[in-house]
Amino acid sequence: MLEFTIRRIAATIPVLIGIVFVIFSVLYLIPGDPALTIAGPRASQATVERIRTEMGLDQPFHIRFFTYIKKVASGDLGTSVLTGRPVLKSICEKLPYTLKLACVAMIISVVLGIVMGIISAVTKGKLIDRLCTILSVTGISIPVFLSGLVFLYIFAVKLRWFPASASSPIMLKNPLMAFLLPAFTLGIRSAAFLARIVRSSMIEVLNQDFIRTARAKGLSPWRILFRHGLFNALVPVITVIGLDLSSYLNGSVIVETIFDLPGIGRFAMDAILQRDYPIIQGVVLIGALIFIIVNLLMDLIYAWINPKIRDEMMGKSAA
Amino acid sequence: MNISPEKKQVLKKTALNRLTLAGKLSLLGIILVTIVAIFAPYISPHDPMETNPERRWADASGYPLGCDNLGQCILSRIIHGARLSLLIGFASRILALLIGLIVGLTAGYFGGWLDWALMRVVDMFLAFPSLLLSIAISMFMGSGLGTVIFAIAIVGWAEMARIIRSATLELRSAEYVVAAKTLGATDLRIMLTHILPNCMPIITVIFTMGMATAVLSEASLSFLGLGVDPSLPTWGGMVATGKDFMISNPSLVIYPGLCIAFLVIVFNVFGDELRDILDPSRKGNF
Amino acid sequence: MKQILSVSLFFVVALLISSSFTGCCSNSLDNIDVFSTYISSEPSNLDPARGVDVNEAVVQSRIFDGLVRYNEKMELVPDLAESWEISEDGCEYIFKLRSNVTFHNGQKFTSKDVVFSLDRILDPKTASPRTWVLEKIDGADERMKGKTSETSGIKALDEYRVSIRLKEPFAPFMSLLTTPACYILPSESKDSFKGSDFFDKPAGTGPFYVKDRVRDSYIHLVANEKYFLGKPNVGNILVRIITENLKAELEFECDSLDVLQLYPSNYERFKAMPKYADKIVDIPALNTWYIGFNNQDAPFNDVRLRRALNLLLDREKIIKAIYSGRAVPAIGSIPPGISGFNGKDTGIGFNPEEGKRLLAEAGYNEKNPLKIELYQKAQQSAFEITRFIQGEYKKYNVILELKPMEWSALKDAINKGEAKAFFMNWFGDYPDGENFLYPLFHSKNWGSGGNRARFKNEEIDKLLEEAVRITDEKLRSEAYDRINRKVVEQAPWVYLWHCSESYVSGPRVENIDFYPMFFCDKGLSIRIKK
Repeated sequence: MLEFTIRRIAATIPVLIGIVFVIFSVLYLIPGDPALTIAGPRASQATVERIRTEMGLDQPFHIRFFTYIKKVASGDLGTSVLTGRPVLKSICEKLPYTLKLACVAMIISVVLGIVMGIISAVTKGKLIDRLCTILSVTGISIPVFLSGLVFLYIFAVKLRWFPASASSPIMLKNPLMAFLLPAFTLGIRSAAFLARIVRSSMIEVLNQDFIRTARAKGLSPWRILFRHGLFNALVPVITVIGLDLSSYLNGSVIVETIFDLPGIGRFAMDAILQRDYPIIQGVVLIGALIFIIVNLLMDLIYAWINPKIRDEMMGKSAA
Repeated sequence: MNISPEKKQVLKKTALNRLTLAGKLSLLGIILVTIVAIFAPYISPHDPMETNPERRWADASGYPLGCDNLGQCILSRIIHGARLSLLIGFASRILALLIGLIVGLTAGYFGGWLDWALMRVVDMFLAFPSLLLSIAISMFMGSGLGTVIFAIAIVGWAEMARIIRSATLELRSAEYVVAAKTLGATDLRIMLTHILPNCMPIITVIFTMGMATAVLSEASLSFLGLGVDPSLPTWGGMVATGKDFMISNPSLVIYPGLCIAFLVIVFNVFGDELRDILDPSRKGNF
Repeated sequence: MKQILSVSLFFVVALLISSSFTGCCSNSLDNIDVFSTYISSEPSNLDPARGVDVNEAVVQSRIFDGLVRYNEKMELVPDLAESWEISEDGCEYIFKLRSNVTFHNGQKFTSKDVVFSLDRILDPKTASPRTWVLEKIDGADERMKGKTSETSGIKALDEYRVSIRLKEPFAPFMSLLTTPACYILPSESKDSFKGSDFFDKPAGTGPFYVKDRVRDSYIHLVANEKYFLGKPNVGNILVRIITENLKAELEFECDSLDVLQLYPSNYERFKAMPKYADKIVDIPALNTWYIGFNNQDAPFNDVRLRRALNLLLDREKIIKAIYSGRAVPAIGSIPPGISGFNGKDTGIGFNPEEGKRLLAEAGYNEKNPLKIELYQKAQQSAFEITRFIQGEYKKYNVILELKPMEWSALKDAINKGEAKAFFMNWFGDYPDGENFLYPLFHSKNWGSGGNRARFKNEEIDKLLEEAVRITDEKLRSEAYDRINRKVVEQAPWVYLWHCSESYVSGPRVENIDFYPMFFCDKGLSIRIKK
């Protein structure tokens, strides 16, 4: 187990360096001069040149890249060119919003997904199952920006149930409420996804011998469903949650834009628009790191539950 | 059910017959959208890009869904939107498939350090916040059709490479491959004539599923204003334009929004069905 | 199994109901002495030497004071300076300062702070992008190059008197002093300026101070009890950061915002609601919208072509569609109400016959249509305009190809001269004709300085330099009118329009003034119903 963990962690380092390299190259190629953004209107050419030198923008590509890698290795993500604030500090400020959003979304999606999956599996082939299937296919297919706008329209425009912004302290006693609508929007997709998986793995488990035996023994349906069925059916769910994380990060760019939450997605989007390179690099790096760590954790949990898979994975990563 | 063995054989051959009702309907939907896309210039009542300040919000006859804030015919824009959505989706998938195929086949077939290195690159692209990468790419390449296709393909190929690799890995030790090798066939030949054809079912499945993702990505990029030239009628772009007018004219968002959802649904359902038929081992998951 | 099903169903329904109920908002702004407003992006820096955009200035103006300011009628009034004298030759300005002013951090305000703050802008270590504001001061050049450690033209005469000496007469100098770059900072805190901490919640002398701040979310301003004109009417201002117009609109209708800026997309809707119709205010703002050309390169180095494009555009038609008439067609770069504007026709209005003739003369016709790449901001509201313009020009065989770019890339492309034609606007820094001519058309200001059209005309350069030396207001206004006409003859732009900005205030607001220059608003007149 330890060897497996170490091997997995070691494999992430070249991946992270590669990610930095790709984002660095892309940013290098993007037209537009961050120095001009900082200088603002009516600044003279000399001022712009001075800012450019100050930011190190006149250095060649490889020098800038290695300087950055060195800095990152020592835990410094640099400072924002626009505000002069440390990138890590800003990310730490923004991350809680996105994490809160993702957590609420995950809770919603797990609860909704499992409940719908069970209902579907239990009523397999009946009308309710069909309905659930249609719902989940729709849920997977509707773009986040569309469902976000539709919810805004229904809840805010038609019903006037608009939770005030997540962030105004004077107005809102419980700021978690403001997250519900955006989190719901963000969670639908993975809820639908989960429902499908829970359904198929439930059906598979319910058809297995030990369940039939339990049923024949006359155990209560509840017991069978939860003790035997659900526990076994949940194993694949764990991996899906890990993979969903990246869709949360993508979704948060759009959800945070529509619902105007000050999270990491919007932060990154703004940074790209304003050419704030250190921030973009920092967010991409941290985002990838979180993705890798969560997937590693999921794999470990998975391997811990199921030793057969562990051996398989070790074989794979050795190959 | 009583079906004779011969009959069963026939049924297996024609995958079409094995589609459920939902599968057939979704195939019909895909065909329908494709027809609309191909014949868009003949079907649409007006030039989708003709603006007119005097026709702003007009509900004139001859404009079945009315006009938008620029006086453009909404119906014509939706019809032409099908064209762009399919075109971008298809082209970006082909590009992604090409990269994924090369990387996946090479990694799976040769194995060893090459496999390790290529899979780290794949890991890298999987771990990338993909939308951010697409945004960054569309910014450096400037807006345009090629940009959007490239930006979507660059984040989609990794998943394909991974699946193709694992399929290749299984096929590599198959008897006929080993046999071909002992007979002295070149690696390239084995890959193209023995492994690739056997990967076809799974490639078909991920391609169809990927179309759904690509259509969604295109819509998301257009929605964020980073897609193709916004004067071109794309569904995502139409939703983005309509957003600001949503309260007074919700239809501006709803029509193109429904179109996106419809196209994605039919590709998802059809891909799902295809997988059940062609690759039963992964049944039930999207 | 049925049992399980019904219980699960109950669970789902219960969850949905509970989540929707908790999602319901209580509009708890009532009975709180707070004015809730918003800006469209996080101010990247509240340092007066640094900030460059609208959103920074809106917050800065409430925290800091300058020596003088503009009131809501656009009249120059005293701020930290009680009174001032200008010497005969127009070069020396002596300000008498208020003696009853303290900073938010308790420090007393004296002439020392004025000298420090103005000198700090020019100090090369500050690296301020706003040095242009003060570069007319005597000794500014030496200071900016780091040759001296202080600016020789800025001197404290005694504790409450400051003298500023210019290199040569510069009539709009008082206007320059109203801009955010000239806000006064507490000199005793200068050691804490280094890091970013001071400017997170800066101390100024203004009517409000920053109590609390969450980035990209809100800035909570609290009334300054010790403000020299007395405590403002409203106790708190909550400056929310709301990037999406739609979100602001919804929040406004839920009464959690007290003011909303209206755009063509929502103006008509609010106008149609009796609750809001009479609360809408249209402010003629100081702006000019235009299509700029790179005047140095082909094809737009041909004045006939530039004029033709002016004559071929029916501005009224577009204004009617987009602004419902809340804009006036531009006949020059100076907007109405500013010195130098006199409203007489300048001969660039819609005239298709003459336009077609000039276009043909420049060598373009049906067989050889003019194709233009129009660079513009990738923004919905900009497309609304450029798409219409595209449609109008198409009628005359002028093919406009839109090239949307993100703001920073767009500026870069224009400054490098790559963009042959570009859709832009100019928002004034102060209400003076000089601000709508000198930065835009003097050849010294090519590129980022403001003259993005790369316009160069020696006669106009000379006239512009002479005009700032005229101290008589009326003569100067006439001079700018003359220059404006001369520039229009050359048609470096397609002059589009000057549009008003519209705001609507909510039911809680008892009194509010809207300023044509957003950054002059100190929030003193805002009153909330108790």
